[in-house]
Amino acid sequence: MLQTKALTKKYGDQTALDSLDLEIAPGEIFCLLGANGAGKTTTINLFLDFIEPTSGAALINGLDVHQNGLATKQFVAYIPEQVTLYRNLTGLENLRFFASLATGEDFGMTKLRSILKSAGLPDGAAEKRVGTYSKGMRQKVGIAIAMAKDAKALLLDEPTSGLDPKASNEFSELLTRLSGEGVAILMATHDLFRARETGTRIGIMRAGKLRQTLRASEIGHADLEALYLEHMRD
Amino acid sequence: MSASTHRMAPPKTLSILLRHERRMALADRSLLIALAIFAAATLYALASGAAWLRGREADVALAAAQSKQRTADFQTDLRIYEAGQGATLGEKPGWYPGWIKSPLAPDARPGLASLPLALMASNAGEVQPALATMRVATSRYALFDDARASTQNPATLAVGRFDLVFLLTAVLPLLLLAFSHNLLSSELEQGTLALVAVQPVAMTRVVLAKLLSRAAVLLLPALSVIVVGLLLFAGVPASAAAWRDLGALLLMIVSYSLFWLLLSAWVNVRGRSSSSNALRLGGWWLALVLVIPSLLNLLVLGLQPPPDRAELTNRLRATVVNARNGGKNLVSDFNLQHAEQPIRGDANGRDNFDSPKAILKSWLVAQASEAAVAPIADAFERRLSAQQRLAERLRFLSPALSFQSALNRLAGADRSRTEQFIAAVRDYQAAFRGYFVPKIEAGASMTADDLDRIPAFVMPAPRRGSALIADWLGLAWPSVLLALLAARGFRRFRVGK
Repeated sequence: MLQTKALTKKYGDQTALDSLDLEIAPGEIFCLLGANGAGKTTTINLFLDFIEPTSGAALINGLDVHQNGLATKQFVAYIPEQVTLYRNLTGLENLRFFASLATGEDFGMTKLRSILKSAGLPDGAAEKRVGTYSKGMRQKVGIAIAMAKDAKALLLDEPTSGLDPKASNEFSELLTRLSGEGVAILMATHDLFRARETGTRIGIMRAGKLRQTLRASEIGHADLEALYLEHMRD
Repeated sequence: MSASTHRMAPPKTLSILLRHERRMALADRSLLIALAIFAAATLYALASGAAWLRGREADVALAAAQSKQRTADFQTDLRIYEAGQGATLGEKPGWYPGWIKSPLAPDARPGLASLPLALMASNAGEVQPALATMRVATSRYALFDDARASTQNPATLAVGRFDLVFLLTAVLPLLLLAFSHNLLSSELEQGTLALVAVQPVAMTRVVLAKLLSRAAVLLLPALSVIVVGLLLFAGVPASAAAWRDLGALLLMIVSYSLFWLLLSAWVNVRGRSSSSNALRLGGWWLALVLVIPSLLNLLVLGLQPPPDRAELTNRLRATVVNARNGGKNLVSDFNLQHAEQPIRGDANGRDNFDSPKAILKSWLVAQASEAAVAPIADAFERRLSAQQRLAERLRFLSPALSFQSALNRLAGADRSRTEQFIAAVRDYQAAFRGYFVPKIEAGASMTADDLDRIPAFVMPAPRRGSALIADWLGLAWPSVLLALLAARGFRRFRVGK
């Protein structure tokens, strides 16, 4: 569902992403680990066509993102570190707008409410202005948008940073549920524990290169940390 | 949804985006405040324009009424005189029979007919001659001297009036820029644009929705206030032409507003911050509304220096003195050419000012001076007209100038309407002279009935169709250019850097 072919992004003589080859199948949760500047966000931005690749290609559902910007966006949802919604609108109104923009359909209020509930938004919050929401609540509206859109691929950029452990745990459960429904998920994160718990595969990046890929089930938390630190020390 | 199905950008996205933008705009209280201030300024500009126009129309009407009254007084006295009771008139102060019988005496005060939208251009209207003063012997170059002396109030000229043309040319763009400079940048800064950009909707469509909704929430109230103000202060349009003028005015305002909105869109293409966009757009406003018009003014002064009116007056005076000194010869030359019916002094052989000979002399002197000054005065007028034409051609360099020109034209306060008035007054002068001069040259006196047949002045309807289209094109070409640049920019626009 999500694929890169020798994907490279350079800013002048700085290489932000160096020949990344990656394939994420439906139902997989691929966690990208790495320090700041490792190329995680660049990878996600290239999948979203927010920036142009210097060479290589990012593909969603087999379509080159850069060649088919609009077509690929019907398959993908995005949860940035800070989900920024329209502060003056309620959660429900935000969802209504983004869902109708994504699909061209006007979901009924009942349907939208049930999606928000299923994304874990507390009862009564849907009718409140987003300006009063916590970060975790806004993340849930972001997930609700992905669910309403019926996204086949989910791109997450450090979604759990700054979430309290309970909110972080709820968020992971949501991701697991979505992956169970066949959504391909690419998550950039610093959170080794969450990556190992939630991910099906883990990639470690440094200086724009994917250094190692491993199955989450094949490594313990302590080993993952040791491996990560080893890559960072090189 | 199966992964292979391709849902393309849904056709309903534009209406979804428009609904969303309208909701966001209406939640912005500063919009309501700005619109209220604009409405107050519009009504004030129209009220003061209406007061100015009432004054001008009153001057024109009063002059016409006074002239008519003078003719009626002459007529009454002439009838008494013709009834052989002239002696009874002799007791009236300032009355003398020769003057009321003189073809030199009747006057006319042709006035400019105001167009329905005249009240919106009191600045340009203030310097426009609106009233002529005419007797048979008045030089064709002196018809507007009274008007020139009275209309140019130095205090008003220095400060300028706050009229609708100024408000719409200079202030309306500020309102539009205030609410469109952050067209895209505010959502880029807040982060909401990233979530929009992840949806299958083209950025050009997002921007189009923002532009259309801004145009609607700003222009619909602004245009409504302008229309209501015009109905209030100028009255309901009384003719099809007046409705057409109103329609043309609204079209010009919408086109001018689109230019500024498209400029905002184009400035937003680069993805800079809102404050940077505001600075850039402020610079554009300054350049197009103030700097370019001033520079073009300097350029026109350099290329076509204005003729010096004081020098003209001095040269005219010298020429007139020469012509007057030759007055006696003019009469004898005339009598030589009209030997069958020479014009002499009055019955007593005296050469009083009201004798046929003195009247003929006045007319011949006036005619000779006019002919003598014609080369100088015509050259002056040609230079003035050339200067104004050059300035008018340069209006295409700034949409603000094209727009101002269109509005002044619709108000009837432009160069062509002024020249049309001057030409109509001169045509009328020819007809006026055509009526009286044969009597002078025949040494005849006026009768009461003669005064009924003085030709009347008719101000022709304005001719401006193609000029208005040219003004509109001056607005349209930069808009088309900006629309193309912005559309190209937004197709390449990326949320990330």
